[in-house]
Amino acid sequence: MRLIELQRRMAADVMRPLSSRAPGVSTYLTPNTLLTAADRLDIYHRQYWLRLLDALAEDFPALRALLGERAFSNLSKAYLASCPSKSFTLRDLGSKLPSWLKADLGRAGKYGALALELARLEWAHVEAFDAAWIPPLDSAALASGPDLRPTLQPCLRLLELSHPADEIRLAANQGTLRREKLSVGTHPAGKYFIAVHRLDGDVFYRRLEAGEFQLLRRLERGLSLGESLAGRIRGLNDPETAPSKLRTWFEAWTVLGWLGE
Amino acid sequence: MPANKFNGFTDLGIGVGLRIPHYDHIFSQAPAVDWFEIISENFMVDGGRPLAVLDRILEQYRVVQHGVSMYFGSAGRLNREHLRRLKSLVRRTKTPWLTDHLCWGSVDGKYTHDLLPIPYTFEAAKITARKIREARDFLEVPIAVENVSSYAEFKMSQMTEWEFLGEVVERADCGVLLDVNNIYVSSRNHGFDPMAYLSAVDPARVAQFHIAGHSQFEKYTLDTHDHPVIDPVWALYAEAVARCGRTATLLEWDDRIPPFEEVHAEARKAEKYLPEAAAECA
Repeated sequence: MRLIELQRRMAADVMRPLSSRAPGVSTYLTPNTLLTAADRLDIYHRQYWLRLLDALAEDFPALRALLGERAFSNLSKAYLASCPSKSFTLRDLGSKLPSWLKADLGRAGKYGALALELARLEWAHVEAFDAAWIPPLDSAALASGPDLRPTLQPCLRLLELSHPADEIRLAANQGTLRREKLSVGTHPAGKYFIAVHRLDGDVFYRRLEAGEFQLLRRLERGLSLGESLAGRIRGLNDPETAPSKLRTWFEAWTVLGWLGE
Repeated sequence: MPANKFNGFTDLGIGVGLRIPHYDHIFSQAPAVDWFEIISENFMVDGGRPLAVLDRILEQYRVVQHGVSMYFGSAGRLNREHLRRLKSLVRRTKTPWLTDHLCWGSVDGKYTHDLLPIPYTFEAAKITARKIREARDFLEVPIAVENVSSYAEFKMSQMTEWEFLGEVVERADCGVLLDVNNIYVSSRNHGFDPMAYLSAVDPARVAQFHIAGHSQFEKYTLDTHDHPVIDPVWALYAEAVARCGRTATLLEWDDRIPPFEEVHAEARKAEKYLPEAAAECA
């Protein structure tokens, strides 16, 4: 057997679903006095699942709290069977979880839509934690004119959600998430515009106004300041209040360093 | 050898693995540590706290990079994105040498995130050595490969583990990160004499030692890095130092991590073996 063939065979056996058997391990592994070939393979098999399930649980604490231990574990196993790791780093393990859930919300049972939004928020958190930081523009640079095309900080993620996933994540972190109360309005569905961003090494969630979100989205697409401000922006309809609101938004973004060169 | 081309002609002394639970202590107390070993993959990111922490550490300490996912023994090609990110980190840390494991862990682009044993064949040795050379040429830093703990043996193996290690490092002309705890763990699982392993390793290629604790189960020994070093492993270490001389030594403690002082004190126990070895070599 060539090396590549052995490794395909052994990887399939190591990564096989938990509680399934791996027939024929003795064709390539030897037993010892205490363990059969299959027993020896299973040391790696168990370690594989322990390591990867732990990694997902660490990155998606709110989703785990929402679904409960057993359901989250089952969801994770199904996800990993469908989307095995294709990155050298475990940091990327959950990168496809949101799209995998979106493809079939039933995978998260009765919490489908909420589970998807939590997965999106928690993956954005992972990305914001270690994404690059570019030099932010100061207020003088921002005043240079409508042709300026600021770049959004790479560690800023913008989410438009139907559930207050930020509140739910914080509740989960504090151990105060009560699943049975979710359906009676403690975290009501609606429209939530959330910025997941990093400041001084920590990741924060900031609620945005609809127009603020809309404007940041335009800048994210690469439009200039002038182009971004053209057309209707929610919350800026009143010509008397629009300038001050706009100033407030830009001041906050400048303080947080969201607009870079 | 105390300082050789495989560890960048350095003599760093005794280090400990840099771990998150110890950050506060290190930054507030600035303990006198010879050097820190970092897990490369934890810092191969674009920004944020990991790199900020690393930069603070680099201001005060020497750092050596230790990888867990290069998978020199995988039959496929090296991951170019991995190498590119690793090179960026090498430039940041100025690591005098770089280590990773003599193992495989990925196939056809899928990763197990484990250190799987390589069948000890000439085909595997040739592939592994070629990839080590390619990595070293790209990264422009000496590479040493670490013997792993293993729990399985292959029918197709054509030589012992220590013969395979020798075959690979000779072909690659690279160094050895000799993990004496891993030798002990594997000797328990496979029933070989750890001293036979040790005596087969070319001392001139040893760039660094690892020491660690492990867990004994009913039917096998697991490399858990969650205990102090046991006496039989210290005895192996003493023998290794006697053969190789004063060589950079690193204590690994990765699970159920005690306070920094305890980890550092466990690592410093290695010191008592080093002067004797230095005297012997002199």
